[in-house]
Amino acid sequence: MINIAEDYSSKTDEELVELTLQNPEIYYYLMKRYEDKIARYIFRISGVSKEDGEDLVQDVFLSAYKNLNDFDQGLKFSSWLYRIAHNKTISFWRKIKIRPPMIGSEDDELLKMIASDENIAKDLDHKYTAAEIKKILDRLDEKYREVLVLKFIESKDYQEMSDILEKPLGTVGTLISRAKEKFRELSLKKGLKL
Amino acid sequence: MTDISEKVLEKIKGEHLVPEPRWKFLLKDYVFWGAFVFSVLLDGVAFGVTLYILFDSDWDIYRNINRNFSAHLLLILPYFWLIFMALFLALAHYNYKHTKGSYRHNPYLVWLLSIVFGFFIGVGSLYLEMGEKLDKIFSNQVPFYHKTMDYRNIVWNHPREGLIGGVILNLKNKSFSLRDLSGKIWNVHIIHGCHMPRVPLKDGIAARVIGEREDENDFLAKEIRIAGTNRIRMHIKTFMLKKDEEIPDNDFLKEEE
Repeated sequence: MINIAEDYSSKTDEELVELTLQNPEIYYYLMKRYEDKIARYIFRISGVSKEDGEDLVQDVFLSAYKNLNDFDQGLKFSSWLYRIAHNKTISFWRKIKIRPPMIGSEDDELLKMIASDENIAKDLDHKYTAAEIKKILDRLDEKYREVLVLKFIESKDYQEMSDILEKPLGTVGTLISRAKEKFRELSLKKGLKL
Repeated sequence: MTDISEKVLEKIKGEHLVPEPRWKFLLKDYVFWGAFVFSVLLDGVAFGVTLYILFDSDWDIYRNINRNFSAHLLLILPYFWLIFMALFLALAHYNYKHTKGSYRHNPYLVWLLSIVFGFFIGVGSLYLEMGEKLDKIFSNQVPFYHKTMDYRNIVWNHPREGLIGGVILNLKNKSFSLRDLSGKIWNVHIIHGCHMPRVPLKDGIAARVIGEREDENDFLAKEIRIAGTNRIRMHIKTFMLKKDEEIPDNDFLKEEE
């Protein structure tokens, strides 16, 4: 454990970034804030094994540290870190050349939130179980799945999603609408074996 | 979960890792911005040469050489510069995409702005004769360019079909000498009723003549057109003049009448 007595919990992320540039040990507090969040996010969008997930998280933090001087103060630090996680996860998919499997199983209640969104829920004649929703999500393209995860599970607003995915706000809006539409289409599709 | 943060910190300390210096990121960003601006500039210059070639082409003489319009059009289009334009535009887009925060702007707007800026640079370079100069430089120094792009000049090397083009030398009252593309000197005689350009002819300017070959060295001119940037300037001047304004005639013929 590191030996810094000062309490950094009251500091903002951006202040911690500045302090880290002077003293790398401060980075520990910044990482601690996001360790679980980033790990869950990576697991949700990629469904990687625990070991691969941990490697990816380490990789994200190391990469963020090396590029700390590139952090744009106009952004939220969390958006910047999620962006790195997003890019690292995509690189990981490309490296192993397989389609990412379905999202993690600990998100049952949150998954139901996706299906209960009023735009998605209209025309659906019954409520889906978390398992059913996961199967639908698994059939969605990664780009649609990721925006649904960011919006409904990570509770990111449009600006944050735009900063994470590095896409214009309008494109994010379009992606979300299409993702909802695709989700609804898949749910309504006759003969879909859920 | 194992303490990933601690592991990462150990690695940072153990391997003495330090954040990359800020100037590296700034430099990278400036390089992409510079490359973006440069690409738009080159796109504009390529557009300028394209405009020059299109304005300098004669769209109506395909009948004189027994071609149909589509074949004529296919030969006139400046593919070389059109490819360059597309390439530089794509390069501008690529460089812009790599600048920091570029995703915050609508990509279609950036395309549009690049095209608009390219357009103005193109018109500017056209007016400053850059289009003509570049066309000539490429024509003289790039072998395949001469073959593929010089149709609009080659078409004026058909004396039997009544088309000659070249540089005016030794301008007299009703005749002048014309050095054609192959270097041959023609004695051009301006017949009565010859359609003249709306700017005075001068020694040294490029001209194209439609008429009739009289013999080995003599040519009767029924229509004279000037070529190059002078011709484009003339078109612009004509366009800018109000309808009721008189367009100055070719003085040199008036003297004779």
